Amino acid sequence: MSERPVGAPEGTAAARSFAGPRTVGVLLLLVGIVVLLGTFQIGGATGFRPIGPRFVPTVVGIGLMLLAIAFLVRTTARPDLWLAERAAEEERATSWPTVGGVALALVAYAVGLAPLGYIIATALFIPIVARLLGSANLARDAVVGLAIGLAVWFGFTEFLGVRLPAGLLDPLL
Amino acid sequence: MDVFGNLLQGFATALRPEHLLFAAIGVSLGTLVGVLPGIGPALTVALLLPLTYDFDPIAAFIMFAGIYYGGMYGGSTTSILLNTPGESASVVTALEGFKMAMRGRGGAALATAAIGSFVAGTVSTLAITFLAPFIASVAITFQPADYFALMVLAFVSVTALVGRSLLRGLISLFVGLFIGLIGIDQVSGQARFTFGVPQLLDGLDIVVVAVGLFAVGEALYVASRLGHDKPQVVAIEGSVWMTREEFRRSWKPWLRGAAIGFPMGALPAGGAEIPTFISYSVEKRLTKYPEEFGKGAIEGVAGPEAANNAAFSGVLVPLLTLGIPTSATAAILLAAFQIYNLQPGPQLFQNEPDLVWALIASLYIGNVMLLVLNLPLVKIWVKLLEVPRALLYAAILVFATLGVYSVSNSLIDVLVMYVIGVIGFFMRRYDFPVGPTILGVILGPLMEKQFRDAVSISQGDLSIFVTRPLSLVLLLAAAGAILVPYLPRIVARARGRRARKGRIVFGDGVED
Repeated sequence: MSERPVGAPEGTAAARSFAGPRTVGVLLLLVGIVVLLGTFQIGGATGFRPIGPRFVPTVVGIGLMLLAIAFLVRTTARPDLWLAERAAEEERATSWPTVGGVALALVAYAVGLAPLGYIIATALFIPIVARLLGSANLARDAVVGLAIGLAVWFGFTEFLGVRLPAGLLDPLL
Repeated sequence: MDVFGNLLQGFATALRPEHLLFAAIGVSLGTLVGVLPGIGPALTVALLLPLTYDFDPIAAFIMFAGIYYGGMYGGSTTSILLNTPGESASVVTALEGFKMAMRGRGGAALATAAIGSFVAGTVSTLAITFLAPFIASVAITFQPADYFALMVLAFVSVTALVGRSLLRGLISLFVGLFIGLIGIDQVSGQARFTFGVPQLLDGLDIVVVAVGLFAVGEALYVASRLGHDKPQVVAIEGSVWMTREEFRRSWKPWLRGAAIGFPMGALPAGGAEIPTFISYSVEKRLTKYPEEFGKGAIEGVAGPEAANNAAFSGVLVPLLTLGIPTSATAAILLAAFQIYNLQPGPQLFQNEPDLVWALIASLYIGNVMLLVLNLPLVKIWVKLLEVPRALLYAAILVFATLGVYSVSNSLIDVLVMYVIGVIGFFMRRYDFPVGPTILGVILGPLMEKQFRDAVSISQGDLSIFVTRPLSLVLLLAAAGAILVPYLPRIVARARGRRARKGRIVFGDGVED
């Protein structure tokens, strides 16, 4: 965990940002609306029980909407300054290319698991992500990636009886 | 009720070689993930759940308990040497522990943390041994309305007492409740929020949710802040042991920490963070060396470390006897029980005495193992802090993907887990605690069932929750828990003074 702003004393002009928290609030409101709309698609109560399957979803949906509105109020009319400073600090520190790169690598890894096979996919994924995260030692990372891939594949298929995709290496394994 | 006979029986089971092996694996894994920043016991147990489907449940739970305890021991090492607490319950340890390490007394800080954890862990395990069967026998008479009220109390205390903002905690909880609603309603058989996707009929697997929120969320968050957080490991000088003087100053804080931690963990009152803060302020007040506080006072490490271990043990009491988890890790353990078709609660002690008593016996054994792992062998774990973070997080992502993929061999599940990871990333970014979400996902469906059962029993009369004395008391306690953090402000305002802004903050609610 990093050092975080603990609320600057009043009067100092710490950087603040409400854009992120407001977006979160709007998204939460949308989720609340989706939940409430979704409750209408739940089949009605079936007889005996006084509380049907819709009751709790309705409570959760309304609760989410009210909380989202309260959260939006805290980013507008009664601003939560600590959160705004934190959001500004995060925005300053964030390296979006790294996050995006890691996210892309993850999706590629998941999609590539079956066709490439577990060992090859893992042996590629680890050095690539380590590089994205700032590692300069590509050779070491590649060795570690291959070792983890091999160890997990053999450990799981031989000892735990969990099948992992063999992929390209199928003829060899 | 023959506690000793049962306990001896438990030791007989727990001391079998294969169970000892699983205990050793558990405590080692627990220490490992406790030491490593970014991963913790909740995530580890979630990742291991799919692998243990075919295990004998006793072996699996002995291992899980070892991970749970080991995480606590290991977390203190990271706090003391790196000043980045591995676990939220170790935040306070960093206050004095890191200062001690800077002064060259890192070895003593590690020793007092390990021995304090051992003392508190053993005292608390003794307390569990005698308290748990008693509570289980009382809890037999609990009705659905009481369980509902207990769960409300658990939700409120986890959400309200931990974290910087009650509002963000509640949002996190409600998001979890929503996720828990997805799938077929157990009572009526109606599909809810499946949006026409047949895979969602079974609901979202807890492994998918927990691994996404904890592992992927944390990895993305670390990736985003790359180059901004550069932790430095402080080397330990000399041996990991205490001087006579340091020992003399430590033993009372250990016992006080245990006495504070266990009851607070055992009451459904928000897990292990709060007692560490309380222990710290108690030690600060009682110490004969107030000038050392803030510069590395050993009492400030001994007390909180004992308190967090005792609280962790305490959390097992409501989990085992009532089936109510009061922390994210306990919630994952509850999910593990469900996977084995075991329902923690008063019946567990009657139906599964072998499992329960072997588990309790394994806590004694695990504590001894952990003392060995963390005193003579601590320097090996310290080496782990030097693992390059880039490789560490790449490997965490590989194991996260593996954990979910091995459950289902489903690409869709893995992608859903990544999406939840993105949510976890934004939750960290904007300071939403993750624990309440996990608790909501796991405890939400149980709470709904108890609620509907209670109202069925009362034939539609909602007043059942306030006319039963026990549930009324529990609900009032929940209301009280919401107010506690605002108390200083309320008191100040009542006296007509200008109130200090905000609420008391206990811990930052991060648990992984």
